[in-house]
Amino acid sequence: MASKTARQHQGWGLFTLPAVAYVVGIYLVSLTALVIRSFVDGENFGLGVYAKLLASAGFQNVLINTVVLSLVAAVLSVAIGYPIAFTIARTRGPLRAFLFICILTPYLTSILIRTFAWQVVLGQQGLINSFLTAVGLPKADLIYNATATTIGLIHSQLPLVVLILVPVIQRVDPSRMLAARSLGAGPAESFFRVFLPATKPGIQVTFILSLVYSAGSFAVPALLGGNSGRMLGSFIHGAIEEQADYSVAAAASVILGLVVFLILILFTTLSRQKIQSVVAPQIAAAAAPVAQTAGEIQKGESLTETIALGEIGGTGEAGGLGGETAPAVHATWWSRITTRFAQFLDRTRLSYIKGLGTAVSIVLAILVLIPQLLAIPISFSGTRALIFPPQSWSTQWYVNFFQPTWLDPTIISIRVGIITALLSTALGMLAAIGVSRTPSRWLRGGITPFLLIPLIFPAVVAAGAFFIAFLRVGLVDTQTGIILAHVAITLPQAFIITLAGMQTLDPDYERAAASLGASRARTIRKVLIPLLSGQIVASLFLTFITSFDESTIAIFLSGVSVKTLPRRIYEALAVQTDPTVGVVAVLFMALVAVIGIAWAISQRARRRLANGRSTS
Amino acid sequence: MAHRSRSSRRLLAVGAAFAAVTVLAGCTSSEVGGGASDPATDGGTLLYSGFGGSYEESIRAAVFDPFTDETGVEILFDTDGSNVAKLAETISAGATSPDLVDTETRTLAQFMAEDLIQPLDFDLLDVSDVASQDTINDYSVPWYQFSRNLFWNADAFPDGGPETWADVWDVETYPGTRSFPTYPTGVLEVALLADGVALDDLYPLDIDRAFAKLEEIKPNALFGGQEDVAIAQGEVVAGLYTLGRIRDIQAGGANVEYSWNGAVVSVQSLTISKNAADPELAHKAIQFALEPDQQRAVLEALKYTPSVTSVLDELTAEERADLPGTPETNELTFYIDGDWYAENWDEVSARWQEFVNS
Repeated sequence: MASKTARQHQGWGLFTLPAVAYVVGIYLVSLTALVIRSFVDGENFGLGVYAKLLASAGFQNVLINTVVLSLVAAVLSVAIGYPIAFTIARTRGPLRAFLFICILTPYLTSILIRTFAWQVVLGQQGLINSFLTAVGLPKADLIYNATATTIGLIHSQLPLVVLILVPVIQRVDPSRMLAARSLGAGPAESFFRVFLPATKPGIQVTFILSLVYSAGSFAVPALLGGNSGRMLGSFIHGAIEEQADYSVAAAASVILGLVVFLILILFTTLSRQKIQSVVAPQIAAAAAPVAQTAGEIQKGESLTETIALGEIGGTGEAGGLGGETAPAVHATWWSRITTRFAQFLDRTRLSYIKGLGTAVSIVLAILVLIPQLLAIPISFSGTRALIFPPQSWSTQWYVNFFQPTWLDPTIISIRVGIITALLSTALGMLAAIGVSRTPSRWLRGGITPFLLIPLIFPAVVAAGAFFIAFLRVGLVDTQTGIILAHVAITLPQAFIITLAGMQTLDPDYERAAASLGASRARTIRKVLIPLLSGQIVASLFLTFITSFDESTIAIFLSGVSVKTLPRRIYEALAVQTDPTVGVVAVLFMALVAVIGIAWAISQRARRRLANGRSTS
Repeated sequence: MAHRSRSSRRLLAVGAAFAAVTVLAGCTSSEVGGGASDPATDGGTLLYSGFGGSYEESIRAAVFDPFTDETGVEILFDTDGSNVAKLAETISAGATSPDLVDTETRTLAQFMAEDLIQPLDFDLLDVSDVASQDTINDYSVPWYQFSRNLFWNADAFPDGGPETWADVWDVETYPGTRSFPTYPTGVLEVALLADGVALDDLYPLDIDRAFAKLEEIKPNALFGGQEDVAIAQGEVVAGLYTLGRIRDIQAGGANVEYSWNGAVVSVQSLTISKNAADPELAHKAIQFALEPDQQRAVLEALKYTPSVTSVLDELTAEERADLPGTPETNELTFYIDGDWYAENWDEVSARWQEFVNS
């Protein structure tokens, strides 16, 4: 019996091999090429480029800009996202659905479309300036500065922040606040001193993710930033495109990578959270609505919980995001500030106003959605310039979308997305099966964080690395190159999603199959894959959407021969205004709406069916 | 049980789709990045490094298809015409580099500074028809000419816009944001013009003076890649931009005007890279592009100014007055000095980066 069990466990680790080989072969080799390139200084090899860069006032300025803007964006993303998440977590019914739609719609549309929306809001002929003119005030310069960059960054991180925080807040017992109230604390004080600390790990994770993703962003600062909003992403892109100085681009990427790496190390040390608990929730957050939409996962939240509770890699340790962390006993400067603030709210009786918090959340959520809705009138604009409100109307941009200049990139993006989704889901699923079934502690503990590296690394650094490495082998500006890069960055998503599924599966299924004489291949095909079908669909969907929306790598790697849809949108935002971007946004939203409605109908039908059965 | 078999059937379908799509990807990706010589044609091959897209289509129709018809030479295209780093890597690796590199004065200077192109053999070329003989140098003969012009948004200045570079620097009379290209070529010159330097005294450029003048305008200026959208949307009210694009923006309905005062004229040349496989054939192609028929075709297809007198003379004085590099506009404009930039490129480029980033 013992020997039989041992045999059953043998060799599962090999299933992780393809994924590990892929991450090493594509991702790490590219990063290595990047690092090597950063040491090439003309004829010499050494730290010359770094010395030059770090001594340059221009680079210092951009680096500081990057860190400061990312910090501000991260703080504000969490501060704005928290109340929205709180309201979603604490309400039911139409309000919850409405708030979810406000958050999910931008989440599922490209960051470039959101940036486009901000061009419409902030521009000289945009929403705000039209309003200022209408009420007789002078126009303001709102776009192409650090503020515009920060707004764009916040808007790009907010949906993720909310989606991560909702389950975290949901898990905290609201009776804690009642207990505090009964002990004499005001509503604000009991919230800030009792409730908020209980969600601290979630706040930390969303903060760090917003920080890292903002620091690695390219399109937002490039399109909204101007001079004062310049960040490292634009610097690296400029070094490649304009100066053609790849050593400088490589060194700047390495420095950005190191900065992010240090931030993460600092964070994991200070917060004592594992790296996977930083990365996993965002995928869980993304996958939860997706999985629900796909209508495949029976228990919608099981995925989120499995991951967020820190069960990844079989660590078995406590310390999930909704952790029952004891309220901080010692008064830090932070808790002193929040206590003051809370007491102020209570003293002024502001916190006693019923529904104030909910009203604030609704306003914030609408503000998240509105820029995107402006795309609808813009898509029917009669002029090429983006004027809001439009002065004349036409459907020419809808006709334009179906011309080759827009349709070809769309088809390429769909093709790249499908291939990426299939490849990364296959690799990720095999790795997940291997990690969850191998008896080796070393494999389980080592491979999980390893496979997650591509997810946490700044996009612009990866884009720089792929560019430098692919240049050598002629993969720049090819579909193969984009697919190889997209698989590398989506593999972790596929891995995490299927891993969560594997961990809820009882190994007895496989044991039963094995005891009935099924081979391992047959067990996987006949038992595991059908049982994982929900996760597989979620993984295919999420990796497809990620590839389809991905702009940074696509902008760096594609250009003339191959153009993806995000690359085409980028050109329409940077090189020549084109309201067709509005059409893309409208089509995107329509697609999301159709899927959402179809899901709602299928849910209702299922419920009726279930009710019918129970009554009969 | 029924549920399971359905799932596995679906998976089979997914697998089939996967295989199909992989094959599909293999086919399409092998189309790109060609460049290996194809010995199918008897007249030999030339690799031309340009910019792809609609530009490539126009150039192909105007120059290279007729060239192939006449000589039997097959032309291969890549899109690295302005990719200095890539050409440097190709040459340092000892690999065969493009025969023809399509350069403008700005990139010509970089190619010259990095020693990536070879001097032309003027025994193989007849350049007597070229109108602006000053723009011929050891490495290049102008093929066509284009300009970057001073523009302004007429909606922002209903009483008349800034028509000189000094006006553009005058933010009191003409308030609003300006935009300039992301590279120094041409921008340093207009800063010096704004500071009172005469057109004829620009070169050698006083770099310190130019950057000092640029610092003045910097708080009110955008040096970014998004200038096209910014101009069309009225985010910027004046600045320097490519004439062809200004006309496109006008055609798009924006109320933008331009001036020939202090416009920056650049010449486009076909140059021969250092490791070119067949320099003699490349010279033949350069000569072919200078013939009147091709010069007319380039003007028609891309609205660029021909560089040869015989075709310029066919135009009316009115037409010439709205084209760069003609006797009518040359009074007001200046040519970028590629030789000067080639000598000073490292310093100019480094200082420009410092300026833009800080």
